[in-house]
Amino acid sequence: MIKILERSTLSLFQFLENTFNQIFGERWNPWYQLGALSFYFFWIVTVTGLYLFIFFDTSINGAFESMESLTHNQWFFGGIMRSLHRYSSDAMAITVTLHLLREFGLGRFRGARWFSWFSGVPLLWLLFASAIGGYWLVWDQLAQYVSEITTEWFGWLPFISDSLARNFVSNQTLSDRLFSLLVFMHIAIPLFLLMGMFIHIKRIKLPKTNPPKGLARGTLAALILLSLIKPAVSMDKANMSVSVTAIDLDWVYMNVYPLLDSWGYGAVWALLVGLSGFLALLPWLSPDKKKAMRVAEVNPDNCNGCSWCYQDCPFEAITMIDHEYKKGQRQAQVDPDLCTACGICAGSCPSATPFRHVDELISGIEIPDFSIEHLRQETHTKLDALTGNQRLVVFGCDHATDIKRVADDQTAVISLPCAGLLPPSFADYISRQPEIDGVMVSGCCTEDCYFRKGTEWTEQRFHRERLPHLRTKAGKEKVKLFWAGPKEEEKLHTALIQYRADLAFHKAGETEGAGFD
Amino acid sequence: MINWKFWIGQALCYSLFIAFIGYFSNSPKYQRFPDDQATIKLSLRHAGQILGECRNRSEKELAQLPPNMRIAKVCPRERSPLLLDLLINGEMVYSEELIPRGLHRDGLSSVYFRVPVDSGNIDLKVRMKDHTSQNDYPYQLQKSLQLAPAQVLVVDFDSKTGEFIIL
Repeated sequence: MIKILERSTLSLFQFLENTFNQIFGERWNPWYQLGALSFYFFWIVTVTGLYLFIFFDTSINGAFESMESLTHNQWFFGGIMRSLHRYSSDAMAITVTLHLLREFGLGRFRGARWFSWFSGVPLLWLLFASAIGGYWLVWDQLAQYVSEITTEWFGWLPFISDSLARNFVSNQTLSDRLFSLLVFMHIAIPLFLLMGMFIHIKRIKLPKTNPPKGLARGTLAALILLSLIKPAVSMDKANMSVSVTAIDLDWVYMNVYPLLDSWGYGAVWALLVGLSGFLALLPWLSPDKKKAMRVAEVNPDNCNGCSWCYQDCPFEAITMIDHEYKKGQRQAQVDPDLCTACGICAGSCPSATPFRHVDELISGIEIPDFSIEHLRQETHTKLDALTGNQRLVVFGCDHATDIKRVADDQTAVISLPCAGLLPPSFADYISRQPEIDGVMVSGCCTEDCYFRKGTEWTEQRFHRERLPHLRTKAGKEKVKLFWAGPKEEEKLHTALIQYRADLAFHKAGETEGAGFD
Repeated sequence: MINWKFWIGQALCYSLFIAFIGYFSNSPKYQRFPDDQATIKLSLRHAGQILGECRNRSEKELAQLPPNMRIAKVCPRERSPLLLDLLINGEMVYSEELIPRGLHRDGLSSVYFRVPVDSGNIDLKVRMKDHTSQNDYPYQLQKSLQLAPAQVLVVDFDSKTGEFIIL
């Protein structure tokens, strides 16, 4: 059931991502930046909130009046800041929800990635608590409704007193000090949210917390435009002696509130706690647990302590320790709890070169089912099976375009867990085989590597910007990089035809430099 | 050269994004209940009477206690639950035994109860016992009231005067 849901969600997102790639390009595609956009909206909310706080009066009468004054007397700035505050928080809820769904679809909750997933669940509660708490401060009829229902909802819990709801029972029971408490909570809860966001990304190296400038500017401009077209305004002032019968709900944050009225408090608690529990336990309910627990292995005999794998691991799963038996030397150590078995470390290992003259090719760090020796043997087997005139090898990624569809009698395909697993020297080695005309390395699109950094690091290694470099003597046109997300087989097919044409052109001596750069 | 398709496509996506936020940030209006409906809230806190009688310790009992704990009079801690009823137009809409808070049941009993009612004339009756042994309700309020549409009427209890109050 989980698998079916996962596949359906992934298909939907892949369709949206590919469509948006046509409109925004890969760099600015918002679907690849959902986490970063959430951070970005948080900062907009923070900056605008600080401005609003300057003018906010923490008293029963002052709260509403100060917001009204800011909205109408200072509409050209204060009003826009208020609208931005509201709309950015709505935008954050949307991007956070989509981020959760997308990560679910991609299966990024299994194995070592459980921590980011698990730590994200309480953030949902903190996000909603931060936003809903903000609505109380305006002290309009929406605040009245939300305060009444929320306190009743929490008061339903056996360990919380009825006194919570009594605070909002009539105008006489309200006090200015209560508003000071509400302001404090509206600052404290978002601070906890920020701390939680920090913990959420703690286990990943170089987390993407800022969207690309183009996307950031476009989003901010759109939100400012919305603030001008439809400024955020209050309902009438709260009056506890009159019920609010019709409410301008913020459906982004308060979508469960009508359920509280119709289902009752216990049922909604059961729904939300049940859903949160399900989400939190999902990493352990996953049927692929065994596969996801495969981890990289260090071979001390071949590890020279260069630390390239340590620098490249996107999940900070590698640490450098003293070598087991070589005095004064270092060696890599893998933390199995953090390793995703992407193989980016194996691709960075200088000993993972098939040019080595050894009886058994073992590199310093390897993925158990995907050792360099295994890869060499598999590649040779596939090369031997080629019969066509222009023979190519395509290395692909299990999470990107399906390369099997381009396999034929002159194209050998080998899919890897991540393109970053392929050492540049291996591509060089294959390109030097006399019967081979070219090597294409394919993987996830540049902004959305399944293992975060595989595409970026591979690109840099092959362009000699990152160690280990590609040192080909066979001609740089013989190695080509191509990046495309899932379901972009047509794009790969076209790129392959073009590459064949370029190679043929080059072979005929009419052009040069059709390679990876 | 400017790629118009690229920019128009983006403008369209941004427009859809802000249209979604702009609309759902306060629409559609949620009709919680009919405009002509009123609400009665029963919200009070009161400590029930202590169950059992105070008694004086015997000399022997006092002698067995450490010197700093030799207090002659001892009283039980447990308080009685409150028995609270709310009747509207003669119909019982709320009747509960409110257990005092605390592990020893020695705290206040409290209630918060909200019930929607039709606006117009109502006969309100609220009664409470604060000791299980009481045969009759020592605290009562009976009143005919005119409720306006959407009005919220709060029934509270003043423990000092021992009277129900309407807010």
